[in-house]
Amino acid sequence: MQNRETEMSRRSFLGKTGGLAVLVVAGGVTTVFADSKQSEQIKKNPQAYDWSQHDYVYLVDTDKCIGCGSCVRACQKENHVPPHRFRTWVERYVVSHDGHTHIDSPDGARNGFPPVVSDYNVAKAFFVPKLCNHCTHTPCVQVCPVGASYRTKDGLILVDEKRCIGCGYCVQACPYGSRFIHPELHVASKCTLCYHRITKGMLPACVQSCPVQARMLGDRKKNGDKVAEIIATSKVVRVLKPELLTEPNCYYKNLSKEVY
Amino acid sequence: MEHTKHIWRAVLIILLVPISYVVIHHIAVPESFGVYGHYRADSVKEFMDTPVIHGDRESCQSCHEKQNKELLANKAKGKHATVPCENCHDAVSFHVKPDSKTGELVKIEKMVIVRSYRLCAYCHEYLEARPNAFPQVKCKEHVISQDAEFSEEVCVKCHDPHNPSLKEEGKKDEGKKDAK
Ligand code: HEC
Ligand code: HEC
Ligand code: HEC
Ligand code: HEC
Repeated sequence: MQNRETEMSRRSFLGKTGGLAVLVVAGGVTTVFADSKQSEQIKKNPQAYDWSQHDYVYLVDTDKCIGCGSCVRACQKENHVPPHRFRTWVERYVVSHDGHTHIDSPDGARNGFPPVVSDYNVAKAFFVPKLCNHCTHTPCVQVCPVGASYRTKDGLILVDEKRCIGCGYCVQACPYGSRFIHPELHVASKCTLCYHRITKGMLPACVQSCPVQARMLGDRKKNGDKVAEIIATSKVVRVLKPELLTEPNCYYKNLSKEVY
Repeated sequence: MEHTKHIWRAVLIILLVPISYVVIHHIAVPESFGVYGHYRADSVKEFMDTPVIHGDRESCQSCHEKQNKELLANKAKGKHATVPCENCHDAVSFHVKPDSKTGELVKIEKMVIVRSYRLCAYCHEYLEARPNAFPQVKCKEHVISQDAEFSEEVCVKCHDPHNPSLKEEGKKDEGKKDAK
């Protein structure tokens, strides 16, 4: 068993999944679409993606977010997300001096935020981008009766749309509200961290579109990865709802105590 | 042998169990199920095969380097250097496509150009929740305070969307003339 896990390297992965012929076909696209070193390699050898060599982490810096909603719009286009459903969204927290917290997220911030006239003294206000936390011990995979939700070797939670029966248990089970039932396909749908992009060495659409670098993608298995370094060393990085022991792989920097 | 019938029945029942198991397993469990875990391994490949819509931060350069050299240089040195082209325009795959024969990229659709102040307002309308250091204005008041009349496409009359800073003198007056 142990052997099988470690052996799941390039060769067996490709053999079993029939090879990544697409990347060859899309060669013309990758020249425009990809820039990093990894994608250079993939361009030369399209089968170079090895999922045992990656362990993705996501970091949000709430101090930087300006609430423009660029990420939500980009995600929507990149992943064909239906209207009024969200794979990522942005929440606005406005905290009054007497400790009341007002939270809003008009249409998930797809059109940014309108100015609000508050009738109270604002002590602080900030934005919190949200998305699937890609938990290590996730309830959404545990409750799936048909094996449609699963965790990949590079650390992401995906939903097999062909397998999903749309029962909605996982939507209920997710403590972060990251899943929804697709209104047309009638299957569970959620953030994939743009698996089709990151496996080509590109950034997820939300990270790519952020004008202020409030969203970052890291890789724990990459030497000298800056994001993984921040997560490992910073004292102001935490996860949402740590008490649930789901071990999210999405971290928040400078998160205010009002957010759970 | 009066019991033959019963033996055959018993054998049949015993055989039926494994046969129906095989048949049902074949129908209910997809081919690549369980290769890596309790899921369909082909699903991973299907995710990887999904077409890419947005480019990366360099994806406009290859073509526009020649036609819009100034624009690109201007943007790279200005305050909007960190704002991706696709945020204000549109995803690159709606604009270009690899040619089916040569694989070379060709333009297929006009690129979206948004001149409305609403685009700027996504990022620059004053909101309490935005970080204080981020440049923000109350759009309508800002335009009026600059002695201009407010209209839908007013922001880009003063500010170059690719390099918007107007803090240097000279540039400032130039803008005002146009906006009136
Ligand atoms: C802040 C938003 C914004 C960003 C970022 C942006 N553009 Fe634009 N772009 C505009 C607007 C607005 C116009 C229309 C300007 C006008 O007509 O005055 C425009 C016009 C253009 C034009 C047409 C210019 C012409 O003279 O016909 C091109 C080409 C262009 N942009 C390319 C790019 C490229 C390439 C990038 C990325 C390097 C980029 N833009 C980034 C907002 C933006
Ligand atoms: C195949 C190469 C190619 C790529 C890649 C490309 N463009 Fe273009 N683009 C063109 C061509 C060709 C035109 C037409 C120029 C002309 O008519 O003068 C054009 C025109 C434009 C225009 C003017 C409006 C129009 O459609 O005529 C804008 C704005 C623009 N591009 C923005 C972008 C942005 C932003 C990107 C990156 C996301 C990009 N382009 C990527 C080839 C490209
Ligand atoms: C996707 C978000 C985004 C959009 C849309 C956007 N900007 Fe910006 N803008 C930024 C960022 C980021 C900066 C850099 C802020 C900084 O330096 O901290 C900036 C800087 C500026 C500045 C410079 C302020 C200074 O300190 O000199 C001006 C002016 C400006 N933008 C005007 C505009 C105008 C006009 C538009 C509409 C055409 C626009 N912006 C659209 C994100 C955006
Ligand atoms: C009549 C010309 C004019 C128009 C129209 C105009 N601006 Fe400005 N804007 C200026 C000038 C001049 C400055 C620099 C003034 C200053 O530093 O106080 C400026 C500064 C800014 C800044 C930087 C503020 C800061 O705190 O650093 C932003 C952001 C901005 N404008 C956004 C916009 C937006 C958005 C619009 C459209 C709703 C717009 N402007 C329309 C002339 C104009």
